[in-house]
Amino acid sequence: MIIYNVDGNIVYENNSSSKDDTLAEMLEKKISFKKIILKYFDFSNKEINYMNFDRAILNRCSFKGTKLQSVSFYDTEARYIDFTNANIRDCCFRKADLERSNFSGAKLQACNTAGAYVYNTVLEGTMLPETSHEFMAEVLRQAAGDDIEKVKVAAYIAFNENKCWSDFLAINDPLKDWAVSVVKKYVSLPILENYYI
Amino acid sequence: MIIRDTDHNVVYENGSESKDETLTEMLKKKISFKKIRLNYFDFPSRKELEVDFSGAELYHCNFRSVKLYYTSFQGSRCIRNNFTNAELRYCNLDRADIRKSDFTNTTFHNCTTYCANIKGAKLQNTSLPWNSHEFIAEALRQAADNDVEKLKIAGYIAINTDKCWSDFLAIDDPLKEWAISVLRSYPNYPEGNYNVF
Repeated sequence: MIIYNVDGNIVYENNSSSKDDTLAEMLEKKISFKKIILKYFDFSNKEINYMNFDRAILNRCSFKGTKLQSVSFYDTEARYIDFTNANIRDCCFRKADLERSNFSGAKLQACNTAGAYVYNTVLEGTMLPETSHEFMAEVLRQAAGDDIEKVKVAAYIAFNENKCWSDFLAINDPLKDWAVSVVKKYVSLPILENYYI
Repeated sequence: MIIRDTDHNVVYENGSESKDETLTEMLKKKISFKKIRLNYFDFPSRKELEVDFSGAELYHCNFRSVKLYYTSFQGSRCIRNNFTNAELRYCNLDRADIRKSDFTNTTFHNCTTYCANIKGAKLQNTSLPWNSHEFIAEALRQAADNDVEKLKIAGYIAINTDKCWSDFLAIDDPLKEWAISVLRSYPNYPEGNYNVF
């Protein structure tokens, strides 16, 4: 199997045709995953610490039940990824394209998601980082359905990254309670009182 | 002068200390500008430029009065660049970070700006790309100032990338007229032709 990076260079080559074997070898040999192209690879139930997937293409990979600590997905193309029940801590998703990825049951703690594209991500039972405008707006957008006034509240949060929770709670909006009740399901609210998003 | 790319590899090297000379040589020798890192470079005005800047880092560069045709800024970081009086035709600004750039009197024609970050860009008298949710939302955001309801309208356009002009015009919103009046102040507002999104 030959693994390329986004510049078209060969990153790793072996005689195996198994994706699982190749991935295990690459992890063992500590091959750099920066800018790598890996589609449909299975990282599920692994423990991945301090790894760099910056600008990589990881569409449709599985991180099901994976423990990810201090992993960087900066500007990574990560569509349709399965993060079900993953434990994601201190990870960077800045500018990552996470469209339609599945975060059901995942726990995201202290993650940076600035500029991430999280459109149509699956967020059932997900614990989200309360600092993430992108995820907060997406849960609200999904909960809003076709209600334009509710979509506008989601849009306000998505678009005003310079505003924090205290700014949002200070505005006089009839849908503020609705927004807080939706968000409550994804973040722990005691923090929300004084936390900047 | 040594020119490096974003991976710190040397892209071009000469004995000159002049940025203008170096740039002229590079353009003449058709050196690749992909992923290049350039600060405070002055691109020749009134010249036609067809360059691939994808993944590049261009800070405080000057594209004043430059005719940029089929130029790609895809995924580039182009913060605080000067595009005044420039003409951008068929350019790709997808996922570009063009925050705080100056687009005064700039003309856009058939450019794509999917997921571009335009926060704080100067848009005085800019001929906006009317298919761009990002530019339209930013124009409205700047006009909204701190008015929450107006910011919601700007955000609504920013996050609803699957919606088009006709969808927006169909909604019953008291601020719709305000939004249209703001956009009408731009020189090339497509009066009567709403099939532009």
